[in-house]
Amino acid sequence: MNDLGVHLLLFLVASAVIVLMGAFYSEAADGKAFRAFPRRLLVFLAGCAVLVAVVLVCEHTFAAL
Amino acid sequence: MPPARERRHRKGDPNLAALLGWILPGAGHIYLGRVGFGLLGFLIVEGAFYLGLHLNGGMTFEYLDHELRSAFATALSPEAGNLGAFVYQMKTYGFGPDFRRPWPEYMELGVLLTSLSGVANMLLAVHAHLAARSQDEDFAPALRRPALAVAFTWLVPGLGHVYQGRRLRGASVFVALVGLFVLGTWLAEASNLSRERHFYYWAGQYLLGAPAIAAELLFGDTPVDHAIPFAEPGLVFGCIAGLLNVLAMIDVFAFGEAESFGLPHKTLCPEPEPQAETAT
Repeated sequence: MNDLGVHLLLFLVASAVIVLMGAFYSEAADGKAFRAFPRRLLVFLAGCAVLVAVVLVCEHTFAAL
Repeated sequence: MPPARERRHRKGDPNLAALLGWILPGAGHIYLGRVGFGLLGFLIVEGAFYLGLHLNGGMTFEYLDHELRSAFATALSPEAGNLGAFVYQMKTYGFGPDFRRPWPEYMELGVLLTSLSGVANMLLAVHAHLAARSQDEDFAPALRRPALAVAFTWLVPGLGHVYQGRRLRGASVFVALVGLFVLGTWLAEASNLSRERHFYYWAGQYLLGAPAIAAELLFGDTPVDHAIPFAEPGLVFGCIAGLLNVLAMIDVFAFGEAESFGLPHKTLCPEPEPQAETAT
């Protein structure tokens, strides 16, 4: 596996733990927290993807100035 | 003449009790009239700090690189949890002389003890805050729960949840956080376990409690004699695991607080069943 793939996998692992703890923090009942986990993880990853896109656009736009 | 329970435990402002305890261990309890508990807390917390200071020669903050040294550079360290002792150390020893000098023989043990005193004092301050909010003496047995659950969670992630009877959540927190820390340590080939090497990341990692301390004692001296490909992700993983344990501590505190004070909490209050008809 190349470096990018490994980094993406590691990011996914860290994201899963962050989202799980966030779900526990905001949902007092375990069942609700576990049920909310997949949707929360998708939202988190989508948010991160948007952030990556914004950073890349900024880099290409402003880095050469 | 006031009732016996009022004579025994004067009630005070919770925030002031916590603030006093932060500045001087046990002072918050003494302010509340719990002199014995306060003195015991003072002896344990300050004893750990000054033993640690004796062992490390006050050189903890000499771990910081020269370019990072400034008035507030050390504020993000566990020792800041024991504010009075922290200020004393900064005033008395500071960053040491301008040249590098050899570390004392028991430097790491001393550093662990001073750090431990900071965390212990934060837990003591939490307890003082709760003690000030207790309405009567009968509350005292239940009062231990939230502060003790927070202490357990710091010591072993998830243990506070198990202590509160929330086993599934406790096991999940343990697997997630300790797993992340172990993965990080493996990726970084244990290079993340040195406060000298990573002063600030170490501070975050220390919030994971016993797993981080045990790993440091076992593998902290591993030499770094080659380039480690995933050192940085590993370092970040260890730090994130410690920081996320703060969320777990807040979670057990909120649960214990609601249980002890009879406050509304989603777990404690079952959802109302839909009613077909309104009572007349």
